[in-house]
Amino acid sequence: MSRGLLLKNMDNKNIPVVITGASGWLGQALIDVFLHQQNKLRDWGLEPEKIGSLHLLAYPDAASLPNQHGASSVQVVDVTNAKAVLQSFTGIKHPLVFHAAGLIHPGLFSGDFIKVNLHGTQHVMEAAKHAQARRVVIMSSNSPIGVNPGREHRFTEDSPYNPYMGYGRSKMLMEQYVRSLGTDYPSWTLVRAPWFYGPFQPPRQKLFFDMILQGKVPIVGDGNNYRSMVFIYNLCQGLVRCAIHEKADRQIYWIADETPYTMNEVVDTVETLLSQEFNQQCAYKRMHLPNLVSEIAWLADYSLQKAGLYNQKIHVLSEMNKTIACSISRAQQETGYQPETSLYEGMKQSLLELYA
Amino acid sequence: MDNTIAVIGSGAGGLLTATLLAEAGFAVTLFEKGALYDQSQTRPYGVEEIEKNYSYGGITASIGRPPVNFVEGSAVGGGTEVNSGLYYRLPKPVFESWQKAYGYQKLDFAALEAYAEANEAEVGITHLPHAPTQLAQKLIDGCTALDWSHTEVPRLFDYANSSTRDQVAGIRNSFSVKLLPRFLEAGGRLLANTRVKCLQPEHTGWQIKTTCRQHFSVWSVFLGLGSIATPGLLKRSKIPGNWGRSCYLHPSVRVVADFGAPVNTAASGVGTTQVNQFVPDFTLGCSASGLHHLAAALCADAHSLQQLPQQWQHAGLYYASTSTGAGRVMTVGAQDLLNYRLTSDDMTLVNKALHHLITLLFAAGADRVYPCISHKTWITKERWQHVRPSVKLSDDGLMSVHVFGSCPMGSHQQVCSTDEEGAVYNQRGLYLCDASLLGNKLGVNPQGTVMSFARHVARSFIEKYG
Repeated sequence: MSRGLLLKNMDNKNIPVVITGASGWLGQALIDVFLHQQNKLRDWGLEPEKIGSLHLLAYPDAASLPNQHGASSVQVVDVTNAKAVLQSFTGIKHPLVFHAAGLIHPGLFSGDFIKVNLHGTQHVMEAAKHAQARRVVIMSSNSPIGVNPGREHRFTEDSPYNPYMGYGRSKMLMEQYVRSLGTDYPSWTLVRAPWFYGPFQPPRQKLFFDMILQGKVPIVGDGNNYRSMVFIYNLCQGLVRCAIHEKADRQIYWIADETPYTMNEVVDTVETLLSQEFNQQCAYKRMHLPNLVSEIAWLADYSLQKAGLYNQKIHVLSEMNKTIACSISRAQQETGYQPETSLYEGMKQSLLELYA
Repeated sequence: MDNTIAVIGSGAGGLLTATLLAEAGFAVTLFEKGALYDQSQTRPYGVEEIEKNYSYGGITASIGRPPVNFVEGSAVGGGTEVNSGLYYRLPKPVFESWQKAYGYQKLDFAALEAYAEANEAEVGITHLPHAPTQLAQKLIDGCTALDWSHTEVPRLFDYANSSTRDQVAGIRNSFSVKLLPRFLEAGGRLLANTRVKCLQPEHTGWQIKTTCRQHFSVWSVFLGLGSIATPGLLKRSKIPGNWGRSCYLHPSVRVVADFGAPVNTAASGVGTTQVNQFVPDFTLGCSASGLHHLAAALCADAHSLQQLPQQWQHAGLYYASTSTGAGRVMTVGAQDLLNYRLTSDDMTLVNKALHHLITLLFAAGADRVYPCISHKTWITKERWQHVRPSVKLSDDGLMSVHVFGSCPMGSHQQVCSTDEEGAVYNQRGLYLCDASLLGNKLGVNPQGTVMSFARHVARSFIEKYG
């Protein structure tokens, strides 16, 4: 990798790194990379010797951070509290910030999307400005762009906004806010990532795997709709590369696995791993549902979210027959991003956590 | 009533038994529901052969989950007229497991080996006189790359002097060719196109009723209709017994491999190479890969079918065959049905076999592969790094060319239908002589074992009554 592509101000040593959303799925994986898998950082172009300190902002508590030993500071901070966020950056100068705090599946009220995803980002950007951050890498999603118009269509960074439900709208507003910031704010990169998988997964992933084991996973339509997915460490690579590349300044990138997969491929592959690698008794069945079921779930999800309410299972079911697939070619060309782990290997690591 | 013997069914067990009995001096009448065809007038594995020589046009579906299609011969010669003639003797570990499960006390392995030697000498098994076909060579290449073991399986086949790896020529040593002339020469009587409706016991023998409203009275009856029809006839004849309470297939999944360059010819025939690295769990091999076989395998993929006439020579059809599942034979009116089920562990093994076959084909140089299972698509080598297709209970596409073990032989009467000489328990003068006598989980092509068991049954009878 040419050093000319790196951030100019990365020549300094003792660079502080701030991770928001440290207790979340992505946050924990980033912590793991920065504290325990520094060889990955080197492979991705960031010399670990340059990292001076690691500051973790967790919420609602830091108890779920099993691998925090070695971090310089751990603070419990609600990103919806502007003052608390500003205070959490006290004493940190010129950091690299990974803003991984976000809300995907709220409790009962869908209004929390805006509070966390839009207002939380505004607070982090203000604090980063105050701390004169080198760059803020901000997690976005596929949801601001919606669903593909056809199975062979792939989203690019130029695809228009077409937000999917309340979550997509909150991330769209967040992106629009970030893109409107002037040069008096720190450099930023927006990273759009689709469905994650991999270590540090939340309990809802176990539910998905158990449904496959029991033959109750819903396949809506023929199951040949495509979904982009991203292995959590592939995503970490994308975030780190976006954090250090000059070209990534004020850019948006899709970060995902090399290729999208059909729903059938995802379920078949997990089933194969469960049965052959983890000796689990699979039912070898699917719950085949007509497309109409997803359309009804979409209507129910839409109506609930209009009423300010949210139901995770209805939301997930509404997406099951949709193609949500992106191209990662711009990230590959401009940041050197190259996903290293296949779906088979990545899912194996996911299942190792649950079924070993 | 006279001292005639009826042999019903003229497959690998029936025609061999009928020939040996006729040559021993018995008056034998051989009943066969199918017709007599001249093999030399029919292209092997061609459409005409499928139409003429197979039951139900080559596809008999089991009920149960997943559905397994199986094939049975339906002509004089039975399965020997349509199969590839790949020949194995009964493996000793399988014999030992059957000995334990079914209680073989008199039948010993050495005797079966001697019967196999006699069969091989009389019917003729041969090895390839030239290099393997290109499609079989691909399997060998894959095994070399993966350090897996493989073997060339001998065939019941006479290779012509003109035979080459790309133009395999010769004639199948089917029983209409090798045994029927002997049977007729010894005075045997063949009644082709004659379906037996039922058997009825008489004072000194059996009455055979055919669908042509003919009645035959005979002294003894040997049933060689195969593992589905033999228990079916016994059930329809209301003969008490545990007919068809077990039945076994070798459920197989097939994969089309596209090598991107010509590897197939119209006369490639059957690949005789099998991968035996994973026996007894599963075997990998090369199927007949003619244009019509490939078209049938790709029938769910309209785009590939359109391209097939131009590109079929780049492709080959391969199989992964497992010893999984268990079924039972049911009789509904005049129809015999196989209800077959695979457990979760069985499905895991089927999928494991499929994945090993695909791994092998990519190691052999395939550009892409197509599992012949419903809802599957082509998989490229690159995509194989990411995904694994899975066969589910609801999927179509599993098939078997081997059916056996519906009326096992042995001393354990609670599970066996005949004694160790093939005589049906509690019935005088009624014998079985086909694949239904075999046990479970054979794992190799069964014709050699069927022939050994049939010779054992015939020899035992001749020693007693000859």
